[in-house]
Amino acid sequence: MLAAGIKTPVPLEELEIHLREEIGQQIKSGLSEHRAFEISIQRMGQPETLKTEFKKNEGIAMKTIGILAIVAGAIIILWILAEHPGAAHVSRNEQMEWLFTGGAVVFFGLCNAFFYFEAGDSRNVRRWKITGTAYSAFAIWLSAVPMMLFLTVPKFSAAVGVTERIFVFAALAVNLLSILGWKKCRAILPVVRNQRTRTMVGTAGCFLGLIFVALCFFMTPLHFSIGIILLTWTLAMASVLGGVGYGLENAALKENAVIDS
Amino acid sequence: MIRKELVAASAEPLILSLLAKGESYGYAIIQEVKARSDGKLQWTDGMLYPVLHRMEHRGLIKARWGESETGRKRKYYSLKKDGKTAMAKHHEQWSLVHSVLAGLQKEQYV
Repeated sequence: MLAAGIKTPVPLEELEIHLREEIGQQIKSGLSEHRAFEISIQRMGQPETLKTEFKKNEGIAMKTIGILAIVAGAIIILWILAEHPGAAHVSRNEQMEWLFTGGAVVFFGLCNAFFYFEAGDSRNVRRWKITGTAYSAFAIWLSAVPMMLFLTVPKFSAAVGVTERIFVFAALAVNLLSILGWKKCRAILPVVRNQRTRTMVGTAGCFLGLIFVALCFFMTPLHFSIGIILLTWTLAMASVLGGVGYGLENAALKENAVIDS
Repeated sequence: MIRKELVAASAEPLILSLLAKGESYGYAIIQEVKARSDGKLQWTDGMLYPVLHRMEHRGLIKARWGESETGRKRKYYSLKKDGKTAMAKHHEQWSLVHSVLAGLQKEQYV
């Protein structure tokens, strides 16, 4: 079992106890020690399969930790944003530090919750899922700061009209739905059979997203409301582009599943 | 021998139903299932433990370390409240499948 990678003490100990009981029983029924050991080991099942099954349980535990981290991070962010307008005792730098801490905790939580979510999936799908999720989390996190500014600070709030608000919230919705969209769109996405091509397209999407964000940051917005729309939509596009790899891997995996069955 | 898909699907309701009779441990659970099915329902022994752990994570059962009559260390599992509810649901669903199957089978002989 150790050779198969089952290192956690509890399953190992339990499996060992089981093995001892089974060997004892086999010996009682008249088998030699050697034969009893062989049969009992065989009955335990393939170490690799066992390892996969136990990994699924780790996934459940990590998912719980992830969800707790998301809640904790969200509480930190909401708390500091709620304190923002009149919190004289918290300096601006401290606020930013707390916001980044909250963002980091949420990101950690998202990684755990999504990375282990489908433990049985192929490694590539998981890898791209985490990349896409990271892009979305980053984009949502960056969009939240200017949004909270215009929602809570009267000076900025006055500069943002109804139309601009609709645009900003629509961008946030695109952002939030991008990962789900890539998952659901796998039926209509082209199946790229070449793994290298999929990786290249996925990576290109990620780079393009980053370039968009960098360009947006370097461009000085003429007006606060135009700037905020530009920023949130750029982030939404980055979020969508970051999920390209996930969508393609998902589509390829679905095709494989059909062939295998 | 029963198909592996059916064996996998019936694992949880069987474990819950066995634990409803009182706490038990992995080896005994396997032996009892084997005996009750005349050896037709055979689990790969090791695969029971990830299932038990998963059910523990989901709050259906709880575990405690104890000792056997001979002083050997053992992990005993028992049913929790949510486990009883899950068991009732399983019974309801399996009974429904059984009654539909039995009805169809009856019609074939009419």
